[in-house]
Amino acid sequence: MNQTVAIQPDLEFKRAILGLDAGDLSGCYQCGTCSVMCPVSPDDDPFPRKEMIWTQWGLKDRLMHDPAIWLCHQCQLCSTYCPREAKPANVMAALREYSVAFHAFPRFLGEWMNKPRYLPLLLAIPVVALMIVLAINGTLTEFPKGEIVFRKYVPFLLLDSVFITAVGFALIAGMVSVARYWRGAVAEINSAEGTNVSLLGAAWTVLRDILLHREFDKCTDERVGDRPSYKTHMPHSHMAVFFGFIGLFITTTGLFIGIYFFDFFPPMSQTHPLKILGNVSGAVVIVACLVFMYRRAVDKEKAGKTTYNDWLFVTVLLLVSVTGFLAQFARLADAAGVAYPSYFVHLVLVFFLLAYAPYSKFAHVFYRPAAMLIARYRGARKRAAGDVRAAGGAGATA
Amino acid sequence: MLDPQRRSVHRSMVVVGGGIAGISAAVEAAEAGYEVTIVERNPYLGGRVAQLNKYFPKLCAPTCGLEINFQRIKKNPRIRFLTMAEVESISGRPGEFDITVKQRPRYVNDRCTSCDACTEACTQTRPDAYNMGMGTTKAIYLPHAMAFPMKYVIDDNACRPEACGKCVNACKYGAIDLAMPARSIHLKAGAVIMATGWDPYDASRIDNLGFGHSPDIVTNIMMERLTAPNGPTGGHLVRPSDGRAVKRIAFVQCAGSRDALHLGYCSAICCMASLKQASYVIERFPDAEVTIFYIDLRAPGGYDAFSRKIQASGNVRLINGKVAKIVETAGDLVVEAEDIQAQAKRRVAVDMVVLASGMASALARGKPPANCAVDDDSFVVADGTMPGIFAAGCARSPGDVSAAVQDATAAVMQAIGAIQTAARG
Repeated sequence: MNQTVAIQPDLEFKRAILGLDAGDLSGCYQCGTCSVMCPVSPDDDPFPRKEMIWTQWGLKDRLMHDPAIWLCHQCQLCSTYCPREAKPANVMAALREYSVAFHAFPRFLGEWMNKPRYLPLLLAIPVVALMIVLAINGTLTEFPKGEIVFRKYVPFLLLDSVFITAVGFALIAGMVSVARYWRGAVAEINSAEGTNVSLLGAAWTVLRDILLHREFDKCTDERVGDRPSYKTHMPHSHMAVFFGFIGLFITTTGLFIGIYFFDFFPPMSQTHPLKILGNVSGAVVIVACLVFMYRRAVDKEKAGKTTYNDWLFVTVLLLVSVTGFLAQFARLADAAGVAYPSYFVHLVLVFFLLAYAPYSKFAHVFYRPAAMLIARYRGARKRAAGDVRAAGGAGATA
Repeated sequence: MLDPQRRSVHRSMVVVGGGIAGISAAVEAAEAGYEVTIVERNPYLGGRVAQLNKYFPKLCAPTCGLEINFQRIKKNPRIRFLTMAEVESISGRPGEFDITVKQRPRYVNDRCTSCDACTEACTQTRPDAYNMGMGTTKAIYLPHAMAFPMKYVIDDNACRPEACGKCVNACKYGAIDLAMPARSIHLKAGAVIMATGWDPYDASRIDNLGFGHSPDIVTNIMMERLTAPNGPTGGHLVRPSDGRAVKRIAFVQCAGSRDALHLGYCSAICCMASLKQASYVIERFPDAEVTIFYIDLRAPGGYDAFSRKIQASGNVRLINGKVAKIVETAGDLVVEAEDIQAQAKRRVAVDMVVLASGMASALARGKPPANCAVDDDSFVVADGTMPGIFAAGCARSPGDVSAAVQDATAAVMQAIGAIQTAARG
């Protein structure tokens, strides 16, 4: 604590954070109300008070490897009770957005994702890829005749070669991106004293808490005061979109296994359990996305940080589900002119959602568990070290 | 010889508010030769200072300083005062103001000898406003032991004159008149001094700090009453909830001040008030543990020496961090802040919590009288829109007693200047 630290403020970084709807940083007078109000901030390493001053000072390196920015589940209580209206929740959200672009591999995709002018280019990649697939299949200039069957329009093998490449790329890019973040954060932990604590044990608690949405629940259950925080819908709407997405993932994976291992070909009957799961999940995702969008539009600045990046993610997620249903309904109605184009758009959007996940707001699926793991690991190490010291102290006096 | 060119002006002033600023202004003006009327809302003079246990900087009892001023008021024929009175309107211009005052009935006349026979007969009670609602008085009561004027008063919200009237029979002096009407009084003055003072900020609006949920979470002005010899506990520092001695205490600075959700400004006095109140605790309990949670400790000028003295006592711990949460567990109050120097959350269990709640302008209670320009926080602003009307003390800005007294002298100087300018035409 007492050693002199030379601070090298990165003003460009600070300006960039302010540009991401961060609110008025200069208002913060470091009272720590935010850290106490935050139901998920740990006792021995509270946030977001320190993130506020680090951002004021432009300490980019620290912030880019700070687990706390991803521990925040944006309940907005800190901003609600901030005596200076400095909006710590917005700053944390802006730091997350910046962090995703900063760690992105390859970096240019991180930049493209946050600039509307690159949107056509990002969309063009799947459009062109799918057009090539259609051209190979001979369905680029005319729709298949007869009963509507999507695999006549895009054969599975071609489709999956595109998607497996895209998803594989996203997974590898996401891992590399998180590794960049993780390295810095873990280096910080290892520099602190501590004893060996099982990373696996910490991983299990993180997985359990994510599945049960325990951190979100804390945001509503472990709070004080009566002021509405404008994110009270979060635990429910996030859980809906989370399990809705998992439902869709199971449907797709189930279908994939069916096709390649059991010669089971869609279209499935509407009463097939996998079909029902897919349709229910899709509907749940649509409803949850609409709630997210509605609250963001109605609560305006009270909803917290709102940037292009925020709108883009929720819009794509919504449209993926909507075009999925549109294609299905049009197929059932035997309207080829609607079914095939909807299916095409659906595929483009699914590609967009998955392949660009490491660069969009979706990247939180990589970063948040990583940050939670780092924090649990560090907290456990700190506590273990503290216990050792306490035991040593007691032994010495006895 | 009178100059025929000279306008006829009122060589008098009306002072709105009979707290320390108002009575200081009145005495100064009267001793400079001006007729003065003090218009006071309470049934007694002395304002917030009369509620203090001790006041700055000498830590003497306020009765001392107030008593001197009351003597000067009593002996000066140029001063008169109206209690239970509020200004309804002010019109005119410098030298020629017309002021309308509404005076609520006291129901007790000048024949009262303060014998206390009436309270024994009285069957109704009311919350004790002087003691900040801690405890009750009878519907007929003496505001406090050192009240000036030393006269009883009936609270017509609590009294049931049509059904009772027992006090009237109990009074041997015929001092009680249950039919006393409200009066409308017209005053003329050459200048007006607004010395309307302050109210403690309503701490229940700071919803995260639990005021109103536990009786052991009190405001700083309640702390004055809990330590004052004429307070609800006779000066014994015990918890309002169970009477347990208060040895572990936390002071929560900036409770409502410097806060965009409450008072946007620094109330100026709370840091020194908490340090002063820490001394109340230490002098009672040598083993007391006092924790002061602060954002920045503001001890301007010579007050720094006082601050250092209190901090050196060994009982006082200062934690840099604003309290954002107070919860009640197992009979204790647990106060939580981020200790910013240690970068860790701190929870301190205490017997009682004092919220250093700030000063709100008393003009925030309602619409101020005409011509009186106020800012967003209801403090009077000298923006030139109200010539001849001046503000003193906390009506102008939050401050301590000595600042209010100096401010009163300055306001009188300005008022004299305004009257003389008006007289020259």
